[in-house]
Amino acid sequence: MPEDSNPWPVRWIVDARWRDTGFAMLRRALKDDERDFFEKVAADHRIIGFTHFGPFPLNHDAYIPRVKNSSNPKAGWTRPEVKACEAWAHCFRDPGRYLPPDPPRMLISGSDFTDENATWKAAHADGRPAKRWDLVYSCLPTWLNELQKNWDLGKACVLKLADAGARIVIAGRAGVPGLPRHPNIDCVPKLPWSVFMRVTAASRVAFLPNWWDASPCVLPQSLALDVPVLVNRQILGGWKYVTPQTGAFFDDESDVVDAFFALLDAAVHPRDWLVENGYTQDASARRLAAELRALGGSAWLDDLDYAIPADFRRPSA
Amino acid sequence: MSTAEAGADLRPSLAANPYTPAELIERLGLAGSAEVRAAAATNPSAAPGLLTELAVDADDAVRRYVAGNASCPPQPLAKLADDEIAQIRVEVAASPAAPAGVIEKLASDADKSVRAAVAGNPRCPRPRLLELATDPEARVRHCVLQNAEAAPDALASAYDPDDFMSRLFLARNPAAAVVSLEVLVNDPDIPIRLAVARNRLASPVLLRRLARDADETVQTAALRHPSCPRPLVIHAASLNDQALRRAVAGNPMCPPAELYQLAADSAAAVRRAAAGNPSVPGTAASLLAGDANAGVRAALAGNPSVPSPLIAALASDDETRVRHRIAFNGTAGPALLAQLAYDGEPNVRAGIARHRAAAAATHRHLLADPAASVIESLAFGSRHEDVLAALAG
Repeated sequence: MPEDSNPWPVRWIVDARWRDTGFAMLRRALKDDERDFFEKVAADHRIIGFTHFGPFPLNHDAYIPRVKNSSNPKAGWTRPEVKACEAWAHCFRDPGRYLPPDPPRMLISGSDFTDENATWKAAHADGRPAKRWDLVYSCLPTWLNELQKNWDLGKACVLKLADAGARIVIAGRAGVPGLPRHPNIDCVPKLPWSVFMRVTAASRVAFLPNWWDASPCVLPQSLALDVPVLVNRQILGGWKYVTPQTGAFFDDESDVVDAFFALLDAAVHPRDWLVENGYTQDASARRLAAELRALGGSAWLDDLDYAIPADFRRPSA
Repeated sequence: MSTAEAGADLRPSLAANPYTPAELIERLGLAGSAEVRAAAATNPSAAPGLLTELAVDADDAVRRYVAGNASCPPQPLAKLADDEIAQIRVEVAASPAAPAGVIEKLASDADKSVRAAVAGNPRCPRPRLLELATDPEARVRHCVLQNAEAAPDALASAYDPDDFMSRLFLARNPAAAVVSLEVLVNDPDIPIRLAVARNRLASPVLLRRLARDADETVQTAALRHPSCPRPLVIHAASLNDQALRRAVAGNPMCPPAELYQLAADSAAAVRRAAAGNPSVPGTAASLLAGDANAGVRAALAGNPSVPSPLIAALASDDETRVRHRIAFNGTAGPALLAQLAYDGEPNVRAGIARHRAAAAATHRHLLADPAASVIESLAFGSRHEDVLAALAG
C-alpha cells in the first residue's frame, strides 16, 4: 500500500514481506504540519531514531531555521519526537556528542541498505561504460546539498584536482552560480538515478568532500559499482565504509591531489569489501532485525529476522 | 575497435572529446544512441550545425546538454529558452552564451529554479538582479548572493542575517562588501568563517583575524590564502604545529626561505605540501627529489613548476606513483612521454594516453596496449585524429 504522502521524517520498518513490524523510524525533527501524522504512528509503533539529516537530533539553525538557540544544540534532545525514540540507529564516530545519553544505540544507517545488485544493474544495463572521468562529485542545487555536500571545499578541491590533470564530472550543479570553469571539469545537470549510477561507473573515483552528511547513500552505491571513494575525513557518517580496500580520506584542498593519486595506485576491492562486510540490503536487514530483537519487549520479536526501512508497508504480521 | 573490451563502449568518450573531428562524430551512430548524442551535445568543439540539430532532439537529456554547452549558438539557445522542460530553461538561463534578451525574458519565468539560474548568471542585467533580490523564493535570493558580479545594492536586498545559508553564500562571494565580511568573520558557525577564509578576495586584515581563529580548519584555510599577511605565514612556518606548517607550505606566496626550510621539515605531510607548491624554489625541489618518502617525490613529479631535468630524473623512479604523476604533469615534454609509454604499469601508460603533449606516434603505439584503461584514456584524451579514427573503427 503506497504511502508516498507520508511526511519525509517518518518511515516504516518492515520485514522481508514488506509487513509492518510494529517499528517506525524518525529521520529528522518535525515541522508543525508533520506532527499529527507522527503522533498517529507513534501511538501504535515503537519509534527508532535514524540519523539521516545533518547533526540531528542536535539542533542547528542551518537545519531548523530560526531555531534561535543554536548555541545550545542539545536542546534538540528535548523535542517530544526525539524523546519518543526508544533507540537510535546512528552513523557517528562519537555518538555521545550527538545522541541523548540513555537510549540504546546501534551503528546502522539508511545507507547500509544499499541494494548492490540493483545498483550494478542500473549502471550496466547498456554494458560496462568506458571510464571517461577520474572523479565524480554529486551536489544538487538545494540548500541542504550545498551544506552537506560541502560545495565550498568541493569546489576548491575540484579546481586543484583539475589543475593536476584529473578529469572531473560534477552532477547536479548545472545552472548553479559559481561553477568552476576548467577544461577538465564537466558539469552535468541533476540526473535520473540510473544515469547517475552509469556516470559513477564511468568514473575512477567517487569524490565526497561532504561534511555534515549523515552517511550519504552515494558512498556505498559507488562501492557497489566497484568505484573507490575519496572522502573528507570530517564526514559525519559513512566513514565506516572507508578502508584501504575501498578508498581514502583527505583533509582539505592541500592534500586532496596527493590522496587522489595515491588512491588511483592503490589495490582496492570496493564491491567485494562491501559484500563481505555486510553493508548490503539483506545483510543490513538481518543486522537491524537482531538489534530490534535485542530491544525486547514483545514475544513476537523473537521471530523477526529481517527488518528494513521502507516508504510503504503491508498490514501487520 | 569501438570497444576496449566486452561491454565498454568508447563512443560516448569519442563524442565528447573536443579533438574528435565533426565528421567522425557523425559516424559514431548518433541516431541509435541517446547516450552518444548526449555526449556529443556536451562537446565544447561540437559544430554549430550539430548543436542546432541536437537542440530539437526528442530526448530531453540531449536538449538539456545542448542548452548547457557554452558553445551553443544564440539561435538554438533562444529556441531552448521556450522549452517546456523547466530544467532545460534553467540551463539556458545560466548559460554564459545566453543573449541578453533571453536572460531578460527568463528573469520572469514562472519556475523558481529558472529565475534562480538567471539570478546567478554573472551577465544578468543589474535592474533584473535587483528585482530578483527581493523574489519571494529563498532559492532565488540565495542565487543573487552567489552572483560574483552582483552589485552591493542587490546583495544587500537579498541578504538576511538570520538565515544561515544567506550568511554562507555571502561569505563566499568575492563581490561581498568588506563591511559584510568583517561581520561574518565573527560568525559563531565554523562553515561561515571558513567560507570567508576561502573567499578569493578576502582582505589581509580579515585573514589576519581568521589565521588566529579558535578552529584549526579556519586557521589553516586562512594561512593557505595567497593574501594572508607575510609575517603570519613566516611565523606559522616556525610553529610546533604540523597542520599550520603544512598550510603555509602549500601557500604559493610563502617566501622562498621558509619554503626551503619546510622542504626539510620532519613531517612528510609538510614536505609533500612544499613539493606541490608552484613556487617551490629550485634548490628546495632538488632536495625534495631525493626525499625518502615516495609521496613527497610524487607531489614533486606532479608539480608543473619543477625544472625539466628534475622531472626527467624522477621518470626513472622505482615507485609507480611517482612516474604516474609525471604522466599527468602538463609540462612534461613529448620525449619523456614517449619513454613512459613503455612503462610496465598500466596506470602510467593510461596517463600518457590522455596527455595532450604526447606525440601522435606515442598514441599510435598505445593503440595496441592490452590494458582497457589505456584504450579508454585514448578515447577521451587523445588529440590525434588518426588515433581517434582508429578507435572509432
